[in-house]
Amino acid sequence: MSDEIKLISIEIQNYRQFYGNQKISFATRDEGFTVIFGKNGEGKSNLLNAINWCLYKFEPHGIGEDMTDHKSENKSLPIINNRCITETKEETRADVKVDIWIQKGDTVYSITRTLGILKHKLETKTLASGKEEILLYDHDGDRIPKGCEKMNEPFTTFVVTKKGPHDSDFTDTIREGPPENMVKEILPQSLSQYFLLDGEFLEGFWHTNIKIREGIEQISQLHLISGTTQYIQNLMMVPSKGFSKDTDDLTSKIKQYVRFENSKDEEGNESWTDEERFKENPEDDDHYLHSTGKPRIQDIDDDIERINQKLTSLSENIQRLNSAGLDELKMKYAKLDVEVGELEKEYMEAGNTFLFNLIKKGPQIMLKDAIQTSIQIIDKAIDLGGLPVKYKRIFADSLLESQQCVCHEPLGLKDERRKHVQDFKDKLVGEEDKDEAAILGYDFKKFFLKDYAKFCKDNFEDPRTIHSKALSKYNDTDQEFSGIKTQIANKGGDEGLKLINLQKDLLERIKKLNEWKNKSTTNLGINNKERGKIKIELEKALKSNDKAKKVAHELKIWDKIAITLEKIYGDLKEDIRKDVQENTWKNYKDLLSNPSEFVSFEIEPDYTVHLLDKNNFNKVRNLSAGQSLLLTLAFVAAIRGPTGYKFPLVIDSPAGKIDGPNTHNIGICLPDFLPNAQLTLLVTNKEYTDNISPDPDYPDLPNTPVCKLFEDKIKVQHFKIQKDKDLKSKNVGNSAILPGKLVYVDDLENGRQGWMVVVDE
Amino acid sequence: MSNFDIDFGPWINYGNANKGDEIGSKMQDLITKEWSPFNGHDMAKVFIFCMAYGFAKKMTPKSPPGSGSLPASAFDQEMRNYMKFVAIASMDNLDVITNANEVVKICQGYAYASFLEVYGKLANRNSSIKPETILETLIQDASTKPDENSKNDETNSVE
Repeated sequence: MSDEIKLISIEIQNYRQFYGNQKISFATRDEGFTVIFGKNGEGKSNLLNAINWCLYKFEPHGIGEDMTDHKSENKSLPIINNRCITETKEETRADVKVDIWIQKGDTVYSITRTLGILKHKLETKTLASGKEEILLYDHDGDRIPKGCEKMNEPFTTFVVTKKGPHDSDFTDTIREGPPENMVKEILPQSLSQYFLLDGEFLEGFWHTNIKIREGIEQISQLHLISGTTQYIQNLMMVPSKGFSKDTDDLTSKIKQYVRFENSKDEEGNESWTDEERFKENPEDDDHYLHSTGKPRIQDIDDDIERINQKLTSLSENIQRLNSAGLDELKMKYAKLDVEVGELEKEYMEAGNTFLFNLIKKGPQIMLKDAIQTSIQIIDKAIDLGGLPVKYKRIFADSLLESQQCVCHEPLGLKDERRKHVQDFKDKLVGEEDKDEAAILGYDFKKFFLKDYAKFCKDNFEDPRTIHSKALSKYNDTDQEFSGIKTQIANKGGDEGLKLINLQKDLLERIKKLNEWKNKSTTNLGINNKERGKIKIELEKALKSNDKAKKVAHELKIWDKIAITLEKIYGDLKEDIRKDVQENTWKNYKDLLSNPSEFVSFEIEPDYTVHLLDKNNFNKVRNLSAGQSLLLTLAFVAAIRGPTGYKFPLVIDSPAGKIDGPNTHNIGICLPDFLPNAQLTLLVTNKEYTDNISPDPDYPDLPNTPVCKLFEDKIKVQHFKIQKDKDLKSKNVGNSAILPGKLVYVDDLENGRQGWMVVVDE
Repeated sequence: MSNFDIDFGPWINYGNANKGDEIGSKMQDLITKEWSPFNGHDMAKVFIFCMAYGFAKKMTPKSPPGSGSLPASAFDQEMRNYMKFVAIASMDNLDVITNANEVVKICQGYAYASFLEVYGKLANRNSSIKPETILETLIQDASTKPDENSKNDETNSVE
């Protein structure tokens, strides 16, 4: 895992806009950067998609963020190249193929995914103009033209072959395991987002803590330790079976509690509900919440974070609505937005307290008669001298000790009367509980019956009043908030209404998720408490069983190992978190044009991030696109430190939304950034060859374009994505990837002057 | 309050005779379903509530089928005190307090006798009735009426 991984080449055949065979050979870091130059829409993001599709059969890039207005071009185009499918004769086959060569240590892997498509008669729809539009459909996640059929093996395949340093040829790795596992070992899909980076990911990175947690825990392989701890906990349950019915029962119960905690069914498989997870994009695959325990709480937390992220952008959009008279409303909106959230929390907490009291103290109210009757019985026993038992025993002891009755009759050791007193005393054994009952009766008389009204007030009336006041205040404020939202919606037109409605739905969803989370947390707490109690019972039961004593001892040792591992896990997590925090901050200061704007960067134990400005305000959610992107690059670089995954970085549009001074900084710093990592950049002219735009705050900033800043420090191997624009050509709209070179064009007559990446003929 | 305890057996029986039987699944509903006021609470609290309700409504105790499945450890001191009062009042005799098994048996009888009624009232209520409201109604319904002599001093409902 710690072997350095290099991307050697990628060969693309008929994938999306890439017609025929296109090949890129990547430069190693020693050879410099690989820069793939292309304009917007020419296929840069689809190059990133091709890598993802080949490795994971997944195309994450270029999908619009907006849930209500999905604009992804990918979703409306087939995976197979348009020209290729048009040229293919009916009843013959066309292939989409991506082949990636990767070197890990001394071994070269060839990862090839092929999709064989059999073309029948294409289905079309006649438009009003009379033109025929080719219809598409989804087949197992791949969008292909209607009338085509996805073929099975051997035409649709996923193959990983490898060649060691002493091998003459590549051999199939299937004997070592499925190809998916080989790819997982090279780079698991969950981590690919930290290595195959696109601008959207970089820019939105700090809107949620999920990526920070995943980055630190997954990339640092901390999950391996938590998995081991879990494995040991499961292992601990096994050996106590087979000694007695009691211990078997207790073991079964503990296993049940462990399954609950980990959301597993009786067969040990993951247990899911039919409650759908939040989807940022309606066209994403459905996922469901875990049933119980920690995984469920984690799912809910992640969903809440994602929804909050969506809500933040919605709030920003609402506040951006432009219309006369909106300013005052937007101010009220922002104020009430916060207030409603706080009041909601307040009334829910008050409601929980009231309900808890009804459950816990309600029985006492219902048992008032029973308590009164019991106290009367106890009082009667006291009156009749039956209580306290303790005094009766003292009395008998004193008689036996003095060897004389109160009537002065002798109670010597040989006297018959002494036996009567002794019998009287023996009968008192076990009766002491009655004395305790008497004390209990006294307590309830004093603290409950005598002050019954106070009991009711403290436990029911006051909590009910607090709850109903909080609820009424919440309702009033919420109503006012709804009014403001309606006014904004009215003034903001259809867009305003759409945003407000979406916001309302998401708020409802968050409310529900919070309720589920509270319940799941309580259930987990109860589950763990019960498990702890039963574990103690099991230990006792095993200790009292001779055959099981050895097992009881072993269990104790496993317990200690689990505790030690948990501690190691906690310590490592802490160390890595601090390490990542420190390195991110260091990298960020290097990358930022004006580092003095911020004074500190901290990642808290719960993975919330705090980037404080000079006035100690946390700016992490209010960074400009450029600042956010640079901070993400700094973080990604920091988490590569403790990780075993040395996958190359492929970054789409690294400076797409960065302003002048920060673009300059990228040009200066990136060549020194991650000195050992292979880096491939997908860039546009704006971020690469254009002169950096002047900035009034930085009058001395040179306008040297990034390509020239790179040139001073590192070699660059260029490729150019060329889109065919010749309307007479059948290839129009398709892209080719060709070796490129950086040239200075000085053609003032035609208004062309400056650096350009052109095809290296 | 007194800390006096009695040595319950390891398990308390609320009446789930077999895995997946009616009582067991209803008990499960009560502590896991969203509509239930006991959602998120443990079964012991449901047991105690039913026991108090059954006793207060003067129901005839019914011996539950099956064997115990609630660990005694789930019953805290307060719950055990309620159980002792039910046993003493039910037997009209203090002697029962010295027999823990008998105390448990009596309480199981009341809890089991009232369980389906309590479940029915909670599960079949109008959905507009809130969890806390239905619990208050049940408690009021089962509570003793105010004693004429202490009527002015005491409030005999949870209101």
